[in-house]
Amino acid sequence: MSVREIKENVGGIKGSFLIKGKSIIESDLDINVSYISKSISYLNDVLHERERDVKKITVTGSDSTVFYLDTPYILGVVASSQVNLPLLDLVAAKILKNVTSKRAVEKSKLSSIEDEVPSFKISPDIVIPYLSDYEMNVLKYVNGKNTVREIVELSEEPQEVVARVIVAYIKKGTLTLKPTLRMDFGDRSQYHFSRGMR
Amino acid sequence: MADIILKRLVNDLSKIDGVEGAVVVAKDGIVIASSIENAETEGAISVFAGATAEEIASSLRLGEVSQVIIEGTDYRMMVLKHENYFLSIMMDEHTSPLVIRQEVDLVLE
Repeated sequence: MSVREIKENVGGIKGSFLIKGKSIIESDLDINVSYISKSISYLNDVLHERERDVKKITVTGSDSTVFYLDTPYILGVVASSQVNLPLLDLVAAKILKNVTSKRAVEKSKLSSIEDEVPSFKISPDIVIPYLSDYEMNVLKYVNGKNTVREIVELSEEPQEVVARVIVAYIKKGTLTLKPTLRMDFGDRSQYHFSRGMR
Repeated sequence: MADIILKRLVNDLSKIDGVEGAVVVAKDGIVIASSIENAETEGAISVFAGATAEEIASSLRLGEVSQVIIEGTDYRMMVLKHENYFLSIMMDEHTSPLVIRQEVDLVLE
């Protein structure tokens, strides 16, 4: 279940977005919400520092935004005043539950590939024009030398996002994975051996 | 005079079932009236929540912010925006912010 499904299941919804930490990982709004993700995350941090658990924040104007919090995720929903709030609460809870269990699956997927080295099977120039921002931020570190674990560190994207992007592009036939045997004596690229090459 | 009215308001609000206390805080964080012990902390949270809500409303085109409700496991906090101050009401998890809002609007009228 993705955030897009909120609009399909609940009336009066203008759009939704999913934040992990302070990064947007999914959105169906045509507005850049990265600034909001930081604001709401800082508010959440301040409340936690004061030993307050936070489950939901509702900002009401002529329209409303409801934030559902389930660390490290925040689901934001922009809704009109006509929205059926109890239904929205149910759907949001379902989506957050789904995201959390998906995260566990992707984490295990990541641990199985974190020492592998992804590389392009085709020229990156072919796919670059079609990449979203976060896909670009992951795939720009794919150079046939960096392991998946290193790509997580370099891209600063959540682990499951990196795993999802890499696995998706392997399935599309754009990337391939090679296990690595690395001897680190300083210059990593110089002492990098791939089993596939031996 | 306004000061006296606000002090009376927070005291009156505290008498409503489920309301644990209220604080009125200026936008610069100065507590104007309060019926709770840790007024400075609650006031700071209210100002921060109010300012964050204004940023969010402006980015998402929600219109003028009228209220922010923060809900946890065992509490609810409603921050109402007025021209020069925020009124923040602490309540238990069973109390309806909608009912409290109606009471506040009656008093402020």
